[in-house]
Amino acid sequence: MRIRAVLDVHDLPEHAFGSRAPIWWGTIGLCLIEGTMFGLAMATYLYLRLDSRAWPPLRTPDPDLLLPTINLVVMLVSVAPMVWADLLARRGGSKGAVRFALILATVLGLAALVLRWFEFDAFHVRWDTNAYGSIVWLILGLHTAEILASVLEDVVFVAYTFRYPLDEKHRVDVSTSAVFWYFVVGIWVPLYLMLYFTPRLV
Amino acid sequence: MRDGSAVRATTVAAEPAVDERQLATRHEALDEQWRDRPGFIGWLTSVDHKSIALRYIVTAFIFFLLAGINAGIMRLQLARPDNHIVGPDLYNQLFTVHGSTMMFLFAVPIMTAMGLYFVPLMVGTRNVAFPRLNNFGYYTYLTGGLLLWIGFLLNIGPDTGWFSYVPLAGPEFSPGKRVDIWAQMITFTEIAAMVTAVEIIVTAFKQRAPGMSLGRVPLFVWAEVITAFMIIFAMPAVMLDSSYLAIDRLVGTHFFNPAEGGDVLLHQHLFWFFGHPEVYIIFIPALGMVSSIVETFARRPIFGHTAMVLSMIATGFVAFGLWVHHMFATSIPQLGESFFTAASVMIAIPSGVQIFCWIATLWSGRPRLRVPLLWVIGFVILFVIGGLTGVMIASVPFDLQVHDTYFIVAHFHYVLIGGAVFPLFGAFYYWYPKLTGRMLGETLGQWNFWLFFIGFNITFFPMHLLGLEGMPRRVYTYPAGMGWGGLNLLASLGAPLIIASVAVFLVNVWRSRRHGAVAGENPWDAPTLEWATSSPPASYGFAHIPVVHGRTPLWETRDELPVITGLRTDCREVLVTDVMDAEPDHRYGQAGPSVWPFMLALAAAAGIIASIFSPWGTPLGVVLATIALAGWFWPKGRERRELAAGERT
Amino acid sequence: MSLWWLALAISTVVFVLVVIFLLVAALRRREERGAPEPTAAPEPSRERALGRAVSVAAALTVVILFVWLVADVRTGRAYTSLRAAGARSPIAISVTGHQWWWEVQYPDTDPSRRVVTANEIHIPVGRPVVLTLTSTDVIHSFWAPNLGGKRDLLPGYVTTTWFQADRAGVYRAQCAEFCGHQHAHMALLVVAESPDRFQAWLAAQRRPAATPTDSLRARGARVFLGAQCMMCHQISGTPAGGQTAPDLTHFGSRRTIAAGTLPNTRGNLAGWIVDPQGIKPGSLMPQNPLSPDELQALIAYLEGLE
Ligand code: HEA
Ligand code: HEA
Ligand code: HEC
Ligand code: CUA
Ligand SMILES: [Cu+2]
Repeated sequence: MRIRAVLDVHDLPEHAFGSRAPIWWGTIGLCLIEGTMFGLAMATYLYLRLDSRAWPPLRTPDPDLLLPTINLVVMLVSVAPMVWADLLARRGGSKGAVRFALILATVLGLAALVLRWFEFDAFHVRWDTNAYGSIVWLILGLHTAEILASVLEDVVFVAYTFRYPLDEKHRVDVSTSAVFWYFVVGIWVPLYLMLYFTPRLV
Repeated sequence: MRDGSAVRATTVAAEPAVDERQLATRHEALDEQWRDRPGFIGWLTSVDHKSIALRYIVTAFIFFLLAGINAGIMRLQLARPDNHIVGPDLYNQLFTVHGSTMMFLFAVPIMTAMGLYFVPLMVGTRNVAFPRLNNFGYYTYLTGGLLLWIGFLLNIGPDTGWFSYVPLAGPEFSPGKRVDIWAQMITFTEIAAMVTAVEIIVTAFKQRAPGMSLGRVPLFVWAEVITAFMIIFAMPAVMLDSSYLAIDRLVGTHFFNPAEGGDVLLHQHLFWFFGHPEVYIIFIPALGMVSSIVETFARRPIFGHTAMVLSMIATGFVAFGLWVHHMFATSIPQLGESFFTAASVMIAIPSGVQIFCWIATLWSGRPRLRVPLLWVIGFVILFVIGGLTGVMIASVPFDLQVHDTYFIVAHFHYVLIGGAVFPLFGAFYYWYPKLTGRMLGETLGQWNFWLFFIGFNITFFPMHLLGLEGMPRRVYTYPAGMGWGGLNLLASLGAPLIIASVAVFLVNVWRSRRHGAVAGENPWDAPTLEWATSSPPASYGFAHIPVVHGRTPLWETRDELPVITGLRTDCREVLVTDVMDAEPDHRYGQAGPSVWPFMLALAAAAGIIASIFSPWGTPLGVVLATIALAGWFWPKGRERRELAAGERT
Repeated sequence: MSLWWLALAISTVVFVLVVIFLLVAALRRREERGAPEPTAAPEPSRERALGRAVSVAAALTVVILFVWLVADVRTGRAYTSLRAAGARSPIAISVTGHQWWWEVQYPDTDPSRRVVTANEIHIPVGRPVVLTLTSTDVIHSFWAPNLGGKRDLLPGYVTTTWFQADRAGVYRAQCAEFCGHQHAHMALLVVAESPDRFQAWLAAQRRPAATPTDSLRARGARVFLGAQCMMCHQISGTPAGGQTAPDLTHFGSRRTIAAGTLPNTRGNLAGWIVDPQGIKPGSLMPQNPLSPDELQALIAYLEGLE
């Protein structure tokens, strides 16, 4: 078949941020998958609760509030440097500045991980004590894996910036990995409320 | 790009047709960029959606043959009452592995793999959105399949049915590793499916050829996109569910243990919340294939394009609201029953609308009755039977009679084979020329079809009657006194016809690879963009990305293809367009071949398989995967040189 | 079952119509020689006619489905109201599923009048029966095809089902949910008999096991108590009090062995006791090496447990 050129695209840009970029859509897809998973884990929690006369079950005290709340605050605060890194990446901020914001976010992420280690104790129950223990450990574990993945990604990024220049492609990457971090922190808010406050409602 | 509307790309004033020699050098330059590396390394590192999809298709088909052999043995065992060819232990593995393979290793992957192959071509782009991830997906899938089948051959195949109800599948009643193999097979295949889903969605959303606004997207692409969304919302349920099962067995959690506050129905809810959408995940791509075939062979655009799209979307939505119809016998409150019955019945409406639209299309077209259309006709006949029995069993009083009997087995083989495998075979005949450059033989095709159609009905129609006579499913044998022998024998006699039919198909594929009629670009004179490439398509798909002006682009401008210029040929550049109107937005250089996706798949395999045996498998997997991901991300070779060059300037 | 006939009628009509239209559409203006030019833009007036046809078909579908739904709800209602009517003076029986047999109890406020048996339910004709179902191991499902629909036996749940036999006879029921190796051999007999005979049966079942009357049976009892049988089986009135296997107190009166697997005859019983694994591979009863005369005595004893 003959072809006829009707459109020339050579002056289009080579990169784009946000919803214009395929990678952004990929990240949203990932968030949808993880989000569904957490939604179903919440459904499990509530479903198991229906079966149980007391919640938490007998002889298990209500979960502690202090440490988990501190951790929530740490995570929420860590969003700020991420937003900053995102903005810097989009607006052509210098490599050093982007790196600095990323390091801040990474440090806060690491702090959240360390706190999380102790947060498992806040429930005063083991995963193999009863179904309540199983589901709270599972939710905590899944979410910890998300934090871990994010933090590892940031660490690799930071390492990268020491070695290579920050080209457009990697700026887009910084910006989308921020999206994932917003998701990880954002999903924790309903999980936190469910895990720590619903047992206190009658 | 609506015609005449302003785009940011420059509209070229009718440049004369590009000349031949220029074209040849262009092909070479593009191929240089896009082709796989040679040899074995090329296998491991490929990022070409066509090679990967073809591998998926071939692998999945092999799993179909294997699971079909299982079915043959089951039919042999059931041919006579009180038969002792296989004992209960083997029989239970046979049907579990048959069902699990057919669902997880054959039907879902092959349906999405057809999407991986054809979605990029149909929307007019050079590759899927995340080529490396695609490779990772394939190897993950392959490991899952090998895990199941190696387990089965070592006599540690799962034996608790394809939905592994607890507590039967729990630690107490299924000691050993059989069920763990099942659970981890799920993990592998679901990861692969979710990866594929994201690929397909992003490719179809962001890489469509300029002008292919949402209203002009071919129905097959819609079908694949809707399926991909269903995968995203359904598969996490089974991942979570199989994880509960795995850790109940491995580290003693109590999700399903009623003695410690767990619940046995939790598994059923989670499984069927996935399992029901799953059957439509298998079925909806088949609808897309049917639409493609009907359109081409009726010689006119599908009647009711929009109604078709809306029907598929409606099916996708409603599919999430009927999982409980698999659980009527567990005693669900009456109100719930009515709700789930109504929802199940409602889903017949979109299915019906689509069938009516295909009939209308054929009615008003000039049908050419070639083999692909034959399969479509077979599909409609069988699927209507299966759908009608589906509507019957959606009624609770009816279902309580036939639940877990051969009536159900008949229902789901009619919808799965009639509704999905028939369209798939039609699609093979239809697209084989595109995959290989040669046509499949028509005569063998006729044999293939008629043997399957007749054999299928002989095998599965009697099962309706067996179910009504009270024969439960999943029994390794049945007493002579029940009077089920005759119909079972009949069913078993049909199976060899199916086997013969599949054998004919294999012969046809083998022979035609070398000796089939040469196909050329567009042997069926079909309307969609995949037929605007050479057969088989070059590594880069299209030499020039086409521009689209309607739903049936190759029928609208019959002698001339409008295309774009200006994509770089010295790197793997694709055109990114916007979601609604496919207006050109930016150009984007994709990643090339890499061994790291394979490494990541290995890391995941090590972690997941190790966790069958020890909880430490998970941290092991995390560490290995981190290394693989870092390797994946870290610039190497050309990218590194370019970055260094960028730094100097 | 009127629901079934309605379903069959609807399905036949829908199926025939669809196939006729499909075949006519595909064959009527066939064009084999050469590829006809495709029509990219079909003629609007014809399209509108097609549109009307498709809409009519879709509307018919909706109507038919609505009829079906109404029939479904009415059948469901009818069933519920019958149950409500039956609830006034039902026979209550509780059934517990085990891998791969059924434990049957006729509860009574007086524990000594409680009846425990296995794999066989007796009911009076014309009286509603309410079964209370549960399981202590895996999920099973109670299904007597000629008496009513299925109901699952779920560990951690108590479910109920309800039925009534209007004619005397022996109805076969079976497990309908896959429950492992011997799911295929997990049947149960429902014996519907006249109220008098039912009461007589019940009274007989309340009595402890018959004491052996001759020396062979007495020897058989000793074999039973001396072998490992008593660790699993109960025979009330004797020291045998095992709880993990079918109660054998009135085994001689039962029609089948091993959950409907074999008719209860001498030869079958001998075969079963010596080699249950050969008959029901995977069953939870072990093989019992017994000498021929021990076996002889044991069988005589078990047969005497009427
Ligand atoms: C491709 C797969 C596929 C498809 C498309 C369907 C389609 C449907 N299925 Fe099926 N189903 C399965 C695969 C599928 N199913 C499997 C695998 C199982 C068993 C799992 C297991 O237990 O192992 C199952 C089990 C199953 C059950 C549970 C049975 C039980 O275990 O007791 C039920 C109950 O409601 C059901 C209902 C339906 C309905 C209402 C449809 C509808 O979507 C059908 C709609 C289509 C039509 C009705 C035909 C076309 C319409 C017309 C021509 C219009 C005119 C029609 C009328 C007026 C009626 N299915
Ligand atoms: C897409 C899905 C799919 C497909 C295609 C099939 C195909 C077939 N199925 Fe199956 N089936 C299921 C999905 C499927 N099935 C599921 C989900 C279950 C439920 C499992 C469970 O209860 O857990 C089931 C259960 C099931 C049962 C019930 C078992 C039981 O309850 O006890 C039976 C019994 O007859 C059966 C038979 C068959 C037969 C005869 C075919 C045939 O159509 C097979 C045809 C294919 C072949 C025969 C292959 C031919 C092979 C060759 C020609 C190879 C020779 C050449 C070389 C090796 C080079 N299937
Ligand atoms: C380890 C436990 C165990 C021991 C020991 C055992 N049985 Fe059993 N027995 C069972 C179980 C479990 C069943 C139910 C098997 C089935 O139907 O799947 C059964 C079934 C039976 C039945 C059939 C009951 C019915 O109603 O269908 C008879 C009779 C029987 N056993 C007799 C014996 C005798 C006699 C012995 C000793 C020589 C014995 N059993 C030893 C566990 C045991
Ligand atoms: Cu008990 Cu099947
Ligand atoms: Cu379903």
